[in-house]
Amino acid sequence: MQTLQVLVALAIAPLFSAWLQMLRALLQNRRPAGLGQGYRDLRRLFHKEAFLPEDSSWLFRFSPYILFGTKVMASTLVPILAVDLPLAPAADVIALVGLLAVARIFQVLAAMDTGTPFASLGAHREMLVSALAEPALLSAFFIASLLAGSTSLSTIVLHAQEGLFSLHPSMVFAAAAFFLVLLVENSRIPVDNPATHLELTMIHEAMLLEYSGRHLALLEWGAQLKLLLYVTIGIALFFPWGIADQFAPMAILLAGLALLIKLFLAAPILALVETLLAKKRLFRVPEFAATAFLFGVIGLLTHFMLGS
Amino acid sequence: MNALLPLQMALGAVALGPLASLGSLLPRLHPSWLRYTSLMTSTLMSLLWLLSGALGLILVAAPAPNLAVGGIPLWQFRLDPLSAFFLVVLGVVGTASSLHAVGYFRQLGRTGLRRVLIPLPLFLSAMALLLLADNAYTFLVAWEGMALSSSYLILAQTQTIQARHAAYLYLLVAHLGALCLLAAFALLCHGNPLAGNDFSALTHEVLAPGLAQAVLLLTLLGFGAKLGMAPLHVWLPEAHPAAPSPVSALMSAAMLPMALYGLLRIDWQILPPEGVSWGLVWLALGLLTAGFGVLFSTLQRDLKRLLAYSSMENMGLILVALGLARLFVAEGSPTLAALALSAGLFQTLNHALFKGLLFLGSGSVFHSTGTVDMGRLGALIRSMPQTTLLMLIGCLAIAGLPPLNGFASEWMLLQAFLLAPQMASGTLQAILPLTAAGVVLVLALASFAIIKAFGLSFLGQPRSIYTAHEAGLWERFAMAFLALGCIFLGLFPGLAIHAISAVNVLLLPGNSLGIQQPWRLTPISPERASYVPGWFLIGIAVAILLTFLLVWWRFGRPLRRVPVWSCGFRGARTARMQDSPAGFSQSLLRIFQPIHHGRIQPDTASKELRVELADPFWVGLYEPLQRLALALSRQALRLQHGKISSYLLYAFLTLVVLLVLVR
Repeated sequence: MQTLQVLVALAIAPLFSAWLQMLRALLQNRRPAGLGQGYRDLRRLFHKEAFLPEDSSWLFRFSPYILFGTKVMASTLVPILAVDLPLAPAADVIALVGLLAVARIFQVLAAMDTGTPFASLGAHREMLVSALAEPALLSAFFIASLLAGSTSLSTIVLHAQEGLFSLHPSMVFAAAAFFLVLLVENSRIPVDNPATHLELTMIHEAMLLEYSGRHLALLEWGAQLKLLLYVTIGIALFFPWGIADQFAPMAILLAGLALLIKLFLAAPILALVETLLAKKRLFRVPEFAATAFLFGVIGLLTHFMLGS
Repeated sequence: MNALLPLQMALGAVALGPLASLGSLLPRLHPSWLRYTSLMTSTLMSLLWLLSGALGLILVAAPAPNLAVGGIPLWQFRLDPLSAFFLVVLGVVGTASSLHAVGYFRQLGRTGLRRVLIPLPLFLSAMALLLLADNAYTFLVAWEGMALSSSYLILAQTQTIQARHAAYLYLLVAHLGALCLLAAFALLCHGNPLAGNDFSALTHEVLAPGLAQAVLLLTLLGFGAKLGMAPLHVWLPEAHPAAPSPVSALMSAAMLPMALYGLLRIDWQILPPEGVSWGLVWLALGLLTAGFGVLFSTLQRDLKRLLAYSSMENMGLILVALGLARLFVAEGSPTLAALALSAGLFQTLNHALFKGLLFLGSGSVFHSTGTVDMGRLGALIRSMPQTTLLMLIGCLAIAGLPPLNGFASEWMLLQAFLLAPQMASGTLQAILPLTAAGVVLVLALASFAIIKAFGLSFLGQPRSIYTAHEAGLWERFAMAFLALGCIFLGLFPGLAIHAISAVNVLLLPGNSLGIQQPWRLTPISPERASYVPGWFLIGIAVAILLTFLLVWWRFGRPLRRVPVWSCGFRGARTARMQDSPAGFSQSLLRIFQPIHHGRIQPDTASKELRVELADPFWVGLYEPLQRLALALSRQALRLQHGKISSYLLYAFLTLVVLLVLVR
């Protein structure tokens, strides 16, 4: 069951990204590359030769595996298909945020390891942005867990499925904060442009500049998986219908179907945001992340004030 | 077993300290002999404290027996779980620092060694004595001994103007703090701290409400000065970098917690936490200290100074946890109070492990390269691979990443905040979420600071020319000891919580968290929250290994080393194209400009931009005080103009006034 969920997540991550790219292309009057493009890109990268920059250390070499491994681990914790998975008691939302922080910090360290100017630019920007986004993410989670009376993701999702906090005002702030964090952490427009190679504005891509071949493939796949994880966490928190609460084959199948439909519907929102907004100047990015944090804090305050 | 045995063992170790100091005075002892014997004695003392602390935590005899020596003044000692816990902290840091010092001071001659080896064992002994003290007199003697010996240690390595200034400032603040404590004890003991009432006797005395408030205020000032609590923190970022690294490790990881011990002993055990207001004061000051410390630590250029500010941040977080626990007591939810208190104490132990490790590591870096200026370092991962790995563990632990120990205690603190809404009071409901948000912001910025420190010093290209070498065996051994501690407590946090529960029982009578399994944390119930770091580690390790093997098996081809691509830049790549320390945190400098008033100044000599920070407390509080003191002394100068007749007049007038008043 646990492995099934991981495999499903790994399999549909490139598909979701490709679908997002396709929608963006359509919205921008370009001809889309098709749904298989994500897989084709990964395949191509895996087969290419991988280079290591001179005088980079083991941190640079093994970081792709560490990053990919932590994200795979994260996908075992998130209720993508079902709640109460065997590994679920091992970690709650706070530990999940910690796990994603492990991935980010190794990425930053690997970037600094190369000692190139662009990589260190990307590294300190990533640390800055995440220093503001991580509190926002945590406060969004705090609101959900205060409502559910638990920080365990399974309990929160079960609680949400019963429709107990569908209309709670603080949840609206949580959703807003979470959405902004999703944009920030997955380096989407208006914070960062996943398709850019304009050196001076890059954040996430700048850290990958020296990677090639299978290492780059792992990093790209990891980034796709992370986007998928964020979207599924958002779905699980705010639109939890259909996630299986037992391990019957039929329920899992239904959950998978529901997930696909929800992902299918979630992508247009993201694509629309990315098409309508322009990328912000880098100095405005902290303000963007701080707005997310502010939403989270207001949500927390609302929760405590309304005293439910 | 004899219930007094742990106490006797610890006291025996305390007595070894002065002996070791005297031993350093022996003439004609070869420097390396001197170094080994003295530091091995320190190690032995620390190990004995570790052992007696552990015994004290396990063999809880309530009430713990008391030992008295001498008549007037009377020395009284006791080893209860609270002392035992802090004795463990001292033992761990003391062991590692002494072992590290064996390697660190290997190049010193006899005179240089004596500067360190005379005060060092005294410092250790004074800290242990402080923990074992059971009356005001013993406590104050130990407190003073700790301040004096450590101020000598600050000057042990460098005697530059800055170092002297740091030591002077430290001594000044320490004595202001000690004065506050003396006054507090005088109030507690009805004007006679020598009376020989042990602490448990003081517990049963009922103080007038106003008096109790005064004691609470004075102790907060006195211990806060030692804790680095804003606005009494000014000595901390000066003193820690000036001291030799094993001493910095001791000061930061063991001496700062002594102030926490004092707060718990007097403001918690002797004056039980009642009422909401002091909890709120602790919470607010803790948050102020943590926020201030973390902000300044992100902006530093000097590695040790960055770590010093980070200590301030950690102490602030612990104070937040303790304040939260006080609030829970006042609100009548002792289980939650136990959770917050355990989080604070666990964080104290964790801070001792990782901050000790990082300060020792910074010492090895200094030894190897001759600098701790991050604008000069870089690429140490190639010349000091093992030190780098150990430092990486410390950095990941302090950045609060699972499955290491820093995460476990932060997790507990956040859990305590999330359980707060069960409390009734209305005002708290507005304050607590804001505090929780502040705490998570502090934690995120702390990882920014530490990644800056690690990335700039150990990765990339060297920013100046030096020939670095791997740290010596002793130094690596000491660091590995602490790093293993970080991993062990990270994987088995339940063990630490179990040990802390004895302290909970002492401070919150009859209340403790449920029995914890060693490998998992479930503070209230599994449905509420649980965290199993072991599974975490295994899960990550399996995922990484599988990925690696699968990728290698399907697509494995030999890797090729090539020049960096760097977006196709083909010019000469120099190390100065990397981020400088100021460059790394430039955005934060911009964002928090109103707080730190940092200015970017060109340094013509090194062709660099330097950041000059101004401590707002120094500018806004200490400088006006300084001006006031100078102005008052200038007025007092008018009385002195060297004429004997006027001096006789002063004497006569004083006599008249006294006669009128006293009669």
